[in-house]
Amino acid sequence: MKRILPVSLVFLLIISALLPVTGAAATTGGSHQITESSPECSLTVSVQTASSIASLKVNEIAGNIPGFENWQNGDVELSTTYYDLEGVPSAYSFDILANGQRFGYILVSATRNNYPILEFSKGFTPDKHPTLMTCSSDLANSFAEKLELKAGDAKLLYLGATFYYAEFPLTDCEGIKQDSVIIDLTAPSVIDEFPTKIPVTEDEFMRQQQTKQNEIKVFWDALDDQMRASGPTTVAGSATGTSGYVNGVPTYLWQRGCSPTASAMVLSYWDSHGYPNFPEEAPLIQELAIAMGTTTEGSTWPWDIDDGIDEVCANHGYSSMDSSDDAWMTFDEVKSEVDAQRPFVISMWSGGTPVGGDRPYGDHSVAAVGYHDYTEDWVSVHDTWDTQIHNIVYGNWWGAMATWVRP
Amino acid sequence: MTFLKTDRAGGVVIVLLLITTGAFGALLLLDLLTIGPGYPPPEALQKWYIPQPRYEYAENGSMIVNRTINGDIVLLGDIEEGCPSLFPVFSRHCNYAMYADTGSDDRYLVINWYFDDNADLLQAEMDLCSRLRAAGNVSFSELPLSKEPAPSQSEPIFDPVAVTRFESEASSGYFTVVEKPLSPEHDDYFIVYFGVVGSSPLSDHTAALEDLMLRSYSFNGARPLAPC
Repeated sequence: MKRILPVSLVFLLIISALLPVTGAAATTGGSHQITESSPECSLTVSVQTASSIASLKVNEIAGNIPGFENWQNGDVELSTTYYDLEGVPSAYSFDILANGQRFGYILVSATRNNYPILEFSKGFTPDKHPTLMTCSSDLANSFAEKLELKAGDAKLLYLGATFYYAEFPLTDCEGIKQDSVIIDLTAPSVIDEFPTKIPVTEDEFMRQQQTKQNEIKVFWDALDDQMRASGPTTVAGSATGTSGYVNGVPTYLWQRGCSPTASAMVLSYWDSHGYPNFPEEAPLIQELAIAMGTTTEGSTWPWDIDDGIDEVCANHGYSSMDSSDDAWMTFDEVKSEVDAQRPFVISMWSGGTPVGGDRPYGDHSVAAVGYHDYTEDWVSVHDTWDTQIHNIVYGNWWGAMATWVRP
Repeated sequence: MTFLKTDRAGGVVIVLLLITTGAFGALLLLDLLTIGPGYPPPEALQKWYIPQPRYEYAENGSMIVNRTINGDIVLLGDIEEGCPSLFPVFSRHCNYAMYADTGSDDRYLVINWYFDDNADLLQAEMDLCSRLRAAGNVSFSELPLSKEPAPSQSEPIFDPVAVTRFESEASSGYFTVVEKPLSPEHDDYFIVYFGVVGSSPLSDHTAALEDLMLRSYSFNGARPLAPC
């Protein structure tokens, strides 16, 4: 095993034990106290609980995300249990079924050390691709033959969104396990070296993991609330706050300046919510940039953002839409605006580093799409730098101006 | 009398000084209070042209990720740091991602090399071209990327993107170079590769690769690899 599982893999094991990385990793975290002081059993999510979570989420996805309407009231059926390198369940994959037809899958964490919902898709997990699995088996058999051993049935591993593997036991002629080989399922190959890199110091890495664990705990606590309210299953945990989100706000990458890009995300949300005359992404951002006087460098005088939005709204027949500045934005206002399903623009002066991030925002406009009201107050934003949802602690800036956009 | 003249001149100087100081202070304040440009950092730009998954929040706070890029094409895993072994590391800002067509099991690869210096870009282009010529066939091509039709038009608009076509046993696809796509005042340069993994004929996969390109950032002004 040492030949195929070098130090880097052990390092990955340590990382995965600390926090299985997910596709949402850039904004996330979990509580250090949970992982270290809670009994191990309390971190395990049973198949039954995961199934209840999957059922709940399938309906949420169907009701909130365009293109997934046919998931409504879909049945969930356990498809695969994945394990970590220690053989402990790490995730459960459930197929979404309706009227005998499969519509996709949802992956639920098997441990409270990770985000409850790891991913979902209309497609398949890598282990459901016949070609990938055949290729993986061939590789394992070929590897076993060189050692004059025989490859057995694969155990599937999930070590985070990037890491789907199959572990094949290698047995001798008497059927006794002598070794094992791990195959990377996404690019079928024998794992002999992981390209794991940590571009930060160990302390910084541990700090980031703690931050992530804090956020993961927030997500599980919120899920516990929801599960308790819906009643089918009792999930351990305590409720300490609330969250709110506006789904359906697109994530645009930076064009012409952060203020017109963030404003365009807000107007595009309204484009799909009863105000369909706005142009597509690029022309909308360009029009907003001109209307709010954004410089060629991309800077904008913040008191012109609302005027620019009003002008563009009027250009497309929505003079009734009202945009206004608020340099004294409170967290209660953030909550009420999100609860009213109205995304808005936040322009920060000396904005701090988002949760789990490593670079402060500085003078930056973002589209605000949600909040977490827990021990810390967080604002969820689309920051124009990628398609993820980021959270910034409310008040983690020198100053901030909200631009409310109300129909 | 001389005193009076001196006093008057001194007063004018003081007023002018106050006006200058005030104007300078106002300009400084304006500059301090201006928002933006909020330019993306290199860590974001190194994956700028790689089609990214969509993230949503469920109402209870759980974050969910949708890896379906378009139709049957899904992102496999995450966007990875570094360059895949098939291609060299020309820039420390290199990311790639693998995609799968769930209908056909074909696998696609998108690589984004980011440079903040034109000289580094040119050097990378030269190195890349010589390596591509050694590894396979290289030629010029144009991809007619279709945009969504405007409300007044029924036909899609085709926007040709100039590319370098590369075909080899390991991977075939299209390279393109985009210079300063975010702002003419900011030194950002990209080499982007959209390819199919394996020895399949490239023409069988051009439509899927175009779909991936349409889910990427703007290719306005894109050009093929110059030395090729």
